[in-house]
Amino acid sequence: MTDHQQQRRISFLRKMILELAKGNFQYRIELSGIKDTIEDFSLLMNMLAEELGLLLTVRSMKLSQPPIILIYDQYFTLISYSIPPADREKFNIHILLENTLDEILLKSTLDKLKQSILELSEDMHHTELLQLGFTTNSGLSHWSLSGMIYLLHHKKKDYYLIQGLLQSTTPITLNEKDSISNYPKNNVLQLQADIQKIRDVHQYILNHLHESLPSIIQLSRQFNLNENKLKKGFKQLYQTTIFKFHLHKRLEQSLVLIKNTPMSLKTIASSLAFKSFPHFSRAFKLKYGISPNKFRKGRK
Amino acid sequence: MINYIRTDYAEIYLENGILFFNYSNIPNFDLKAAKKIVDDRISLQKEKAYPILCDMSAINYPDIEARKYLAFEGSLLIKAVAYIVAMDIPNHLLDFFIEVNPPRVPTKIFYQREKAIEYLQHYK
Repeated sequence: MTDHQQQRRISFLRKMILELAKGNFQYRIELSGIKDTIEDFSLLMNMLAEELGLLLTVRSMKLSQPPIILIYDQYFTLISYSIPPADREKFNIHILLENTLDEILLKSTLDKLKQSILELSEDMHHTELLQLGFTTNSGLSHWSLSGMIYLLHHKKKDYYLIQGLLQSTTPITLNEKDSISNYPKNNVLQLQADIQKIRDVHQYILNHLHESLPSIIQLSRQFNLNENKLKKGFKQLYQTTIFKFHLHKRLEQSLVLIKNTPMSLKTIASSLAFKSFPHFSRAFKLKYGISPNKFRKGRK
Repeated sequence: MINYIRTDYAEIYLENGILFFNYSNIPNFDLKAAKKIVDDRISLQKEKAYPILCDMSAINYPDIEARKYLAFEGSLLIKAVAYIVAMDIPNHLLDFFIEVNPPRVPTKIFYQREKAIEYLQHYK
């Protein structure tokens, strides 16, 4: 490899650092396929950008910004929208109205969106965080939206609802001082230490899905957190309650086991700490719209 | 009992109470690939948990949805994991994965296959 090529690869790393500093988490370093330290760091930076994009979207959602809502038909034509006043100047609605979605999305994000739509057609409860990069004015300006896509059925037609937040173009710092000054007064997650403790609770639950959930009082004692902070903080950080999170994660695991093992449904239910088979069956049907018995029979 | 699978994504087989999982080079390692990988592994294991030797030498990096899926659903029916990485590649990528998505089972990184197998003997 020539010096010129090496310099070019290093310049991609510099550019990534600058893009992250500007709050652009869509940028990805072009990989060379060469196994060396520069490639290793390029991959690490790409993964860091993905993780930061996800983390900062969750943080933004916590700050309760009203989301942007876009509803598209199956031909990617915008049919309805809601844009909060604060975003109207930054988000050019005319571009959205005059073009179909596939004309203004960056190719990499369009592929991702199509993949999500495919997943939704197989499982309409599928949820996944999307980062949509838009490009306008023949590529002269870019902006991005982080959020979720949902499938809606109305009068035998499919519609896609995209709900998300405009990604900031100014750096969002993560240090403790800033996080306090930027938060609304009623925000319970005022210290990074509390956020970390709640993350520890989240990980603890994931590691103990085969056991029944300890009470909130027990969890708050174990992780040295005030009960109210734990309940509200968990909801803010993960957009669900501790109880629902524990339930849904166990149901997701049960689905994988039902699909891929001959384990009896009763064994699956008891191995994931469901109180009884009827309790498991009811919860499964509520989440997936089909009983575990029927789901397994349908796969045979 | 079938104890060997080869797919576009990996070669998986059972030998002496250890499940060997050799990743192929996956050009577009996304959520769909991650789901298929986990489904194949679990269907081979039937309902039994095993220690797993996971050879990462050929792997391409999974995207974020695939990483999250592998960290959670990917840990079902696993007693312990020994990752094997190539000597000539720094294992920062694996470190990143393990640090950001803390594993739910005992996990260790090795350069040598023999040492990895020795480590997994304790979890058989």
